[in-house]
Amino acid sequence: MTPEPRRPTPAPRPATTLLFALLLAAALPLNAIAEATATPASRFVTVGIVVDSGKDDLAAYQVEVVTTGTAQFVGVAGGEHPAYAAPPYFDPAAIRSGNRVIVAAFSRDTNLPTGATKVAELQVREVGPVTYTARLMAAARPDLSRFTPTVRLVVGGQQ
Amino acid sequence: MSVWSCELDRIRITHCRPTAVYRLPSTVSRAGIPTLLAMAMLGLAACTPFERPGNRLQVAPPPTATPAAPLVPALRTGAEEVWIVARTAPAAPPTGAAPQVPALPYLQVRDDGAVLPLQHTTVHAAVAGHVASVDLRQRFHNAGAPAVEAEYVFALPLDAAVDDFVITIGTRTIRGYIRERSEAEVIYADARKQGRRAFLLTQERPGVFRQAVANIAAGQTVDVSLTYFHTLSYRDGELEWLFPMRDAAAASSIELSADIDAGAPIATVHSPSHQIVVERPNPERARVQLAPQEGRSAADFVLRFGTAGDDVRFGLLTHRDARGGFFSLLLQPPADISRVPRQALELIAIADCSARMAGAPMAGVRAAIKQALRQLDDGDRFNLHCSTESWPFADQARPADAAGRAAAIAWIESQNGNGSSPLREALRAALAAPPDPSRRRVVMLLGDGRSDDDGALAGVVREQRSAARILSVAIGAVVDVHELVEVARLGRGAVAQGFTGAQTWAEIDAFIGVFLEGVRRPVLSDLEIDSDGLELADLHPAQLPDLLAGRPLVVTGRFRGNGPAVVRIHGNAAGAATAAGNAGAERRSLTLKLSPAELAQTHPALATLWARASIAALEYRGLDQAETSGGDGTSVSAVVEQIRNLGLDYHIVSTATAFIAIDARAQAEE
Amino acid sequence: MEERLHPDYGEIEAYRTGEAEPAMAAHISQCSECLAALEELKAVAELLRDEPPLPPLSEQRKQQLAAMVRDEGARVRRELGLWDMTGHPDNADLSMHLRGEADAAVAQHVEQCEECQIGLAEIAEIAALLKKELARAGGSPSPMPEHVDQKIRFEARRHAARVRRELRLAAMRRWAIAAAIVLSAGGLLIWRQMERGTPAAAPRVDIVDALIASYGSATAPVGASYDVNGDGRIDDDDVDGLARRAVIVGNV
Repeated sequence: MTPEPRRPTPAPRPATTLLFALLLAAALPLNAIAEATATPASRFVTVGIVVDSGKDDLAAYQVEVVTTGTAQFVGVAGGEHPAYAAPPYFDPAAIRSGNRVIVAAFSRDTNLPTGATKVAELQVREVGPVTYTARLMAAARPDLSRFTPTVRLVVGGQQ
Repeated sequence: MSVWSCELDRIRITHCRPTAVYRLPSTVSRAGIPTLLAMAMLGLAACTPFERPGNRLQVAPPPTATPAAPLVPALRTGAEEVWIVARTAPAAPPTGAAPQVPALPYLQVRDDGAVLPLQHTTVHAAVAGHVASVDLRQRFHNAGAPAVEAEYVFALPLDAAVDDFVITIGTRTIRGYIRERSEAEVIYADARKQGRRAFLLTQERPGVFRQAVANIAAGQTVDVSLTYFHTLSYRDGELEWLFPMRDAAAASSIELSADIDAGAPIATVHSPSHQIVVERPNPERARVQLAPQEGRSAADFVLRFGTAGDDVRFGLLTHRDARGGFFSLLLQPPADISRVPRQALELIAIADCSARMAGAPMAGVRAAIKQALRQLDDGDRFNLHCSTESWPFADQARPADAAGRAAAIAWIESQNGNGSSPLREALRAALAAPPDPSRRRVVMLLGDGRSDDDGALAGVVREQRSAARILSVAIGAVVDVHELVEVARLGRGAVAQGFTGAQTWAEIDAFIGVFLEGVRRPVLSDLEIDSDGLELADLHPAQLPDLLAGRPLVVTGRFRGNGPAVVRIHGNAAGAATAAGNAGAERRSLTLKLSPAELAQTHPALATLWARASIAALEYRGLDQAETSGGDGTSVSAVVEQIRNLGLDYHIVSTATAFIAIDARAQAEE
Repeated sequence: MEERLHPDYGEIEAYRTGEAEPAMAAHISQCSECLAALEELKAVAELLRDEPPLPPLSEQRKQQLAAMVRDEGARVRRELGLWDMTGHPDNADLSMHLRGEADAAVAQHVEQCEECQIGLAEIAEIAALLKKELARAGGSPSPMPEHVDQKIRFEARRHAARVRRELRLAAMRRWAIAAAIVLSAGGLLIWRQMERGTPAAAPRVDIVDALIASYGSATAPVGASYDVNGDGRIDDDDVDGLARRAVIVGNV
């Protein structure tokens, strides 16, 4: 390997040093931080959002999920039915508001789910005990009429 | 701004601005990292260039590098009103003696023996006016054994604002979250350790991104999609969309397409780099696809289109949402400036002739100065200053007649790079000299940006507030481009980044010629924007450059007010006076009337682009200014926090924010 | 006279009651926008003609409202629905709370916040006044068809969002609009009185609005309200915009 010229040596300025320290603290060490934060133990779980629309076709849903405890949303996946396979709408900026997320989707497909269907799946990192509650905010049939299906959450993914 | 990263077996220092990226060569133990950090901070640790020449916007080839590939002049960055030359060199086969440093893009698999190649790349651009929204989909496939982790570093346009990140594994699609970078990296490391499929997208510095992928099992295929916005550049009367194909060429197959909605009848659509197939559904639209036979060309894909007419165009796009109003203003000069009077120049070249520049860099300095001298007419004046000389070439600017130019060429030929002294005093003198009312002054600064303390040259430009335009020519083995970009930006000028190597000088020559001719014939200079009915704020660039032929002005900002409103741009018409220019000033204004409906439009990309420009301004300038303002630390952390908040509020990747996507489903569940 | 923006509603109200300063009175009498605002205030005053005067706002409450609007960072967060519990809920939140539609976090905050309880009482009182006034004027207190009610709430929320951004709004207008949200159906009248000249702002919507809009203006019962980008047609951009708004936490 060809030796490289040395970078000149500017006198370190306190602010520069501080900047480095800040960024060092804020920015990187993957493994180091991971090990430093090994306790308390974290785990990753999936939180499936299941909407049961009974005999009605589900053309739109909007659900709010609220968590207690330390839960970080780390991804939002689509559901099982083809009409809702794409990730639903959610507000990425809502991450700053705390442990709440609203997910919503609609579909104009002719093939819409009925009965109990997993329409979306949150990917969550938990630290310590976490509980989840879901609230249906809106739903509609294909004729645009609103109705009130039931909603429940299914937590999975533990290894 | 620098970011340090530590990994188990190495340490890396990344300058998160358009300057070189280094990796310390040593393999060190974890215990040695603090020591190395301290040494590197003090400049005691030897650094090697992290990327080879050929990396776009990089200028740090090893001195022994093979002559770099041709440069393409005048790549405008979009986010900042500076021209940067040195787009990229085609991939060169590594030579036996070359340092083993990766070029962009590179894919690094951490587990020995595992292979996770980039299998396929799909690119689609939706171009509306001068803004492009690009969907980039990369397919990775693990054909090897066990679950692997890989990093993929790639380049995007310098002002790219990445605002969406979606992972597809089979029929399963996961959209990522934007998070504070440190938090995202902790989550990623945690997921990796727990065997979950994890995806992390970080920005190493403007235009360079790193994608980390963990726990992709053997036989699995993963699609990683991201969406970014950026503004198009403008060359030779046409808008230009560029995609770094070098990255896509790492894949075994590529699909590339673009839908153009020009908002005006399209006169020309072509690609100087690749064969394309063009469909024209209507006069204002075009659909472009890469010709099937193009395959895996490593050259950047360049698509240009022009609209009919030759008038000055002045347009404004707006967006309003709960965060307020955003606008993007485009002022496009006429392509034909033959009727614009040609003004005389006063050129002052200031060259770094220090020991660092010995050899090829010094040859580059001499060549660039000679090219500039060739561009001068008898009616122009010039002077030269070399940092190893106590005195400039002449006591004061002398006529650029044949004798004067010949003497200057002989003088510069005698400079070999054998000393070192700062350039700031020469720069100060050049900017502070009494203006010549009959000539436009251009200061040409040649060197690696490392001759003075960080920020010192930019500080001189800020202090002098001169009307002179500054052309920075970045030459050197290791270049601090940031300093040179900042000097050019403050000097309302341009940056030419040159690799060492004879093949590049034709391109540099062309660039210098285009720039000097542009300064001679400004369509409008000393621009100002104002409005009746709107409050305009937070403009980028904050300091408006001249409107030169072949170079549109794009200004992004925020507004308050509902209209109706009038937005005006004022400037000195060609041939009119500036503080350093001709007598007979004629101030002209262009006016745009906007109705309330026009101010209530929805173009979410404008908010994203404004946020990206704001982040870039903070990354480029905020930290430096905070550092030099007394260094109380509070202001530095405040700037870091501003970057982070902008990234989170507008959900875009920045040096302080990152996209994270974890597949929390246990693979055993599948 | 010092150059300044148009008078706020407080100053126009002072003009209506003959208490404006001469220079301000001269401006208002010659300013078409000010006269339009004056007409709005007269309409509201007519509604409230026989009622006792509104209770004055406490100084503390005034300062609180002013601080909320002045704080740009808080405004952005609030407009994004990112109410972070560091401030107080605004009128729209309080109105939603009275309707039983506010987030649990708002309810929890209100229970523990005396200032908010005062604000709630003020809104409720004005709402009661307006409801009575509507009944006297022959307005229908019975529920309207859902799509009309939806339209009213849609517009009222949009209006309330606008209100939140307007530092210059005077108390009467501010409280009246908040009350209108409580009243919903009754809000139609109020909204009609106040709608003129008010530019559009981000409304509160849910995913069903996006579904409705996806069928285009011919099918969408509220028509132009779904033209998010104001380009005169309802297309995929508007549908996407509505869906994105729907999922903003605190915006529904």
